[in-house]
Amino acid sequence: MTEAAPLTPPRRRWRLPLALGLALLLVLLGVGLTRDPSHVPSALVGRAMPAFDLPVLGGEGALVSAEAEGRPLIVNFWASWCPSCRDEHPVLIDLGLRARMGGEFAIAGVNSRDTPANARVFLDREGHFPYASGMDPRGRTGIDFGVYGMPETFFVDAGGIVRARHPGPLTPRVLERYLPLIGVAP
Amino acid sequence: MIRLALLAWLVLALPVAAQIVAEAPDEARVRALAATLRCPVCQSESLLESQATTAREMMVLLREQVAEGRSDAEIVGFFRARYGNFVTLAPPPTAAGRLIWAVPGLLLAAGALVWLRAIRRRPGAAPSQAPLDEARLREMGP
Repeated sequence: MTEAAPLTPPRRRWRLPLALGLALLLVLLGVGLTRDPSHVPSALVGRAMPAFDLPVLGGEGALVSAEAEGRPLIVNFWASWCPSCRDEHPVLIDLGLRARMGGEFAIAGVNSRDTPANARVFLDREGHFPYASGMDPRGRTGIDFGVYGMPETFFVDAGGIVRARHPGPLTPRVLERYLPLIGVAP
Repeated sequence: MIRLALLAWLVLALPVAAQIVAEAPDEARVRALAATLRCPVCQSESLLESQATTAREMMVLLREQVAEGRSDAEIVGFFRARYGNFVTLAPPPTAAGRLIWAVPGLLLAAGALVWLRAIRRRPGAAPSQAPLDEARLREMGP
């Protein structure tokens, strides 16, 4: 009795659950590493679009959100100081031409925290949008939309409900994904 | 001596100078609120600390709303409607959040249970080990 007791191997029943627990933790941490911490979920998706009434950039009159009522609407926030706005510029021009030809949806730009002079230089260089942009020099409309980066694009359905928000430059692939959500063929 | 007197005068005059630049009465409330709100364009910085343009403009909005006499809940609600719970540095508890906070306690309780069962299984005998006798020593020897 006294000889056998110390020789028995320690109980190992807890080793399997412990190893499984650690493995699970490692998997969770690994998944956590692949996520982008700068991505912020939009509080606006599924809710009514905030109304806006902005002076038109380089023109007269106002860009009023109510004018798009009853039609799907795409709202794009851009600025001359935003480098990736240049990347999405051709995509926006194509989309704007399509909106103008078919009229199945409306598109509006919001020139954010910019000056009219700088915005003009940017548009002269990159090409003018086939649709109007409103001026939001202090970024208040941006705050109403919960914008945190530039560029950012909101997809609003015909009922005025925000269906998607895309942070970062638009690409044809992004449009393929989001246009059907607001009832527009991609 | 004159220097000492000057120094004493400066030290004594300090609180007076501080009173001259006293801030607007609402500013303490603005600061307290801004410290609880996250700057949405930075990583883990409050509105109070951030120098980002968006955060500056949100501070202006915050001051306007405080001046209008809105309540703390209304003001925080204004920003939450736009940026979601993310905008609060201490988000309101959710079911998933509560579960995560409960996990360490549950693990501790499970550990205590396992430990209690283990010491109950060998009553009293646990710490005493038989001293090595001659035969055992010979067994272990080279």
